[in-house]
Amino acid sequence: MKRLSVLIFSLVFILSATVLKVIAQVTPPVSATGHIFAEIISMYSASETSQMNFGRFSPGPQGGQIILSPESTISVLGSVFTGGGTHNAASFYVSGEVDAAYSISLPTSPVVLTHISDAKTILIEGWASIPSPGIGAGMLQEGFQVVYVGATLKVGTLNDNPVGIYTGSYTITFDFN
Amino acid sequence: MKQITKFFALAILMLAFAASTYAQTASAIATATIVTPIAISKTVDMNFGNIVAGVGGTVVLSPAGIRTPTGVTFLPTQPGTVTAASFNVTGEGTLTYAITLPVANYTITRISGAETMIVNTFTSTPSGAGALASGSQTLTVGATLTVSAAQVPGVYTNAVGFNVTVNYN
Repeated sequence: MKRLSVLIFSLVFILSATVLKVIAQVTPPVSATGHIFAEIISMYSASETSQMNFGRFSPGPQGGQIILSPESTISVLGSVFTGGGTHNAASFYVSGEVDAAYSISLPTSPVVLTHISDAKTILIEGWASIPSPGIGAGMLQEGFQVVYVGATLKVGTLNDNPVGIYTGSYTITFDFN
Repeated sequence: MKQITKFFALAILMLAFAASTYAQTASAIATATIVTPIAISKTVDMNFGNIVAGVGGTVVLSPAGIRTPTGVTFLPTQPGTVTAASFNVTGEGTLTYAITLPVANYTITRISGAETMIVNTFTSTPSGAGALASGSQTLTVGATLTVSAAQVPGVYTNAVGFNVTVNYN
C-alpha cells in the first residue's frame, strides 16, 4: 500500500508540475484598443480672414466717396472727412490643389449697407481686388493664395447718412472650373 | 467488513492525493520562473489626416506614418494630423511575442452622419512577431483606407476602436 501511495504521489507531482509549467509559459494574450480617424475635405475652400472696414469718417455738406484700395489705403473724394479708426481691405484665404488656377468674380451691382438702428443706407461700388478679377486670375502656387478686396463707399450728406454704424454683406466667387 | 476496510483505504488515499496536489501547487508557483506578464497600451491613435476624395481610391498609411494616395488627393497646405497608431508593449527582458492585428474590414462612420469608409489591410512594425528590449518595445500600426468619389466631407471615426493583441511566443 505504501508503494502505491508513493507511486500516485509521484504521478501527481509530475502531472501538477507539467500543468504548472504550461501555465507559466502560456500567459494570457493581452489586447489594447486604438481608434482610427480620417477627415474628408473639399478640394478648394475660401474663407474671409479679415472684414472690409472703411474706418471712421464724417460726411460733409455734399457727401463724397471713400476709396479703400485692396492694399488697404484710404483716399477721399468730395466732402468727406476721415477720422481715424481702423480701416482695412477684406482678405480671403483661398486654398486647394497646388498650381490650380481660378477665376475671381466681384459684385457687379452696388451693395447696400444699412444703418444698424434706422433705415438709412450707404452704397458700395467700384470693387477691386488683388489679384484682379477675371477668368484664371488667381493661382494657388503653393496650394493657397490670399485675395485682397477693396471698394468705394458712396457717402451722402449728413442728413442722408446720420452718425452710426452701417453694415451689409457681399459675395465674392472663386471658381476653379 | 472487509468491504468497509477497503473503502476506508481508498478514502485515505484520496485525501493524500488531494493534499499532495495542494502542496505541489503551492511549491510549483514558488519555484516556477515567473515572468513579467506581457502588457500592451495604446499611446497614439491612427489618423489618416485630411483627404480630398477626388475620383475615389485608397490611402495606404504605413506603420511609419507615411501615407500614399491612389485616386485621392492630399493638399500640402492642409495635411491635417497624420499618425500611425502606436502601442507600448511591455514584459520580461528580451522575450519575443506574437502580434495579432485585425483581419476583418473595419468601418469608420462620419461624425453626426451615416456615411462610412472601410479600413483594412492592417500592417505593423515589427510585423508578425516582436522582441522586447529591456522589457519594452514600441509597436506601430498602419492600414489602408478606401474612399469613394462621392465621399461626404467630414471627420470619420469609430467609437469602438480596433484591437491589437500580443502574446508571448
